[in-house]
Amino acid sequence: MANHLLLGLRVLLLEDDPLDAELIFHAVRDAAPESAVRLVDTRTDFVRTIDEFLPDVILSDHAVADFNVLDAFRLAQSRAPGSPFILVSGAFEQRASECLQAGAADFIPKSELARLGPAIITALSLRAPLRSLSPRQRQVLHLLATGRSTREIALGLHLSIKTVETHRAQLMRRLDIHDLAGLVRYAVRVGIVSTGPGSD
Amino acid sequence: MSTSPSLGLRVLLLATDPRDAELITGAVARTNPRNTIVQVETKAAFVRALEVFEPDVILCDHGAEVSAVGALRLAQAQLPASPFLLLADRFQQSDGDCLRMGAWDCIIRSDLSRLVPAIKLAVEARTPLRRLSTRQREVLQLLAMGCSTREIACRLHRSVKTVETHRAAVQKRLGIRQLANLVRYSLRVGLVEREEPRQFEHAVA
Repeated sequence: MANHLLLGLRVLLLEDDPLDAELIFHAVRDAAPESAVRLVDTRTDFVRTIDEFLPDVILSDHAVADFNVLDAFRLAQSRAPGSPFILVSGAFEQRASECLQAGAADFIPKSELARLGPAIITALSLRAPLRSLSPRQRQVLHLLATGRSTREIALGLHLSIKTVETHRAQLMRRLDIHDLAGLVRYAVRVGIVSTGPGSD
Repeated sequence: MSTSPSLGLRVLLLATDPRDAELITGAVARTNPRNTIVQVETKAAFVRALEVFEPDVILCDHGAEVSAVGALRLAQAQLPASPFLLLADRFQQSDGDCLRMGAWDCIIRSDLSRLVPAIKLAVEARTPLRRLSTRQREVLQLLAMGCSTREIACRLHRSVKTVETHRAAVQKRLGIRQLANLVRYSLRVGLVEREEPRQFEHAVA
């Protein structure tokens, strides 16, 4: 049942150790034989590849030469908000913890790569309803989940209140979530909104 | 460590290995001599300590009689305002589950330098929560779980007006007005889970 999520899967891997990269590549291919995997090891390539390759899943080690995993996560969050970000690392340390708090989907120790496939499936399943939202609806979801009123959203997006209400009703229907608290919990869970103080 | 350095923290440590316990206790005690650390090994002692000692912070090591998830549940039921931190040798799936269920952080024992800063952050995040009465905290939790004012009134056997008064007090004391941000704060301090919401029974324990 989960197989359809893995068809044509595009995976971006941020990893600077070639041996680890190979192990992770094999683990991904074991779980998703038809997947396309791109490997990057710099910030520049990471950003460019997200924009060009449009990965469904992003895997990251805890640090590569010129930038740390928290920065990588923030970049991924803004440029590929529906794609789960999974840490694949030899060490669980502060930044890994912060990433998870901030909305990264999972942490897979390098010694447990067999868990990677199931983790990807779980993360994609959770985010599948997001894909059914239009970009506008995703925008409205984000604004609702950060505390904006319908009126504020209408003003900010230059829409009528009625249109915003229609978007809101539609996205609630598509996500099968029918109250604001539920929307917020879902948005946090899939990492499109943080729990931190202030609005995003 | 806290905003009023003269006040120590009450720290409850659930651990069985004496060497680890000593390392952890030492690290916490060195930060502020007024910190009080109590160590327990069994589930029964843990439950009693939650009730009697009322710790500000709970540290849970692996290997104790009760699982980390079990200890987290017990702590959340008894002291929802006290942060729960996990200690582990290496990060396992159950640790990720714990974090999603509301544990504040997971500290790997090989990097204990993270422990004290993590405790500090956890306590600071919860300072606004401690301004709430038990009743107000219950209202906040139920709001974050998606209950309407009427549903909350029903659950707590109070009038809608009373619930609205509590809600207003919560907003004022936390300095947070919008429901969405109340929910986000509740998630941040582990008052509600990032997974499906806990059963309502826990909310009114």
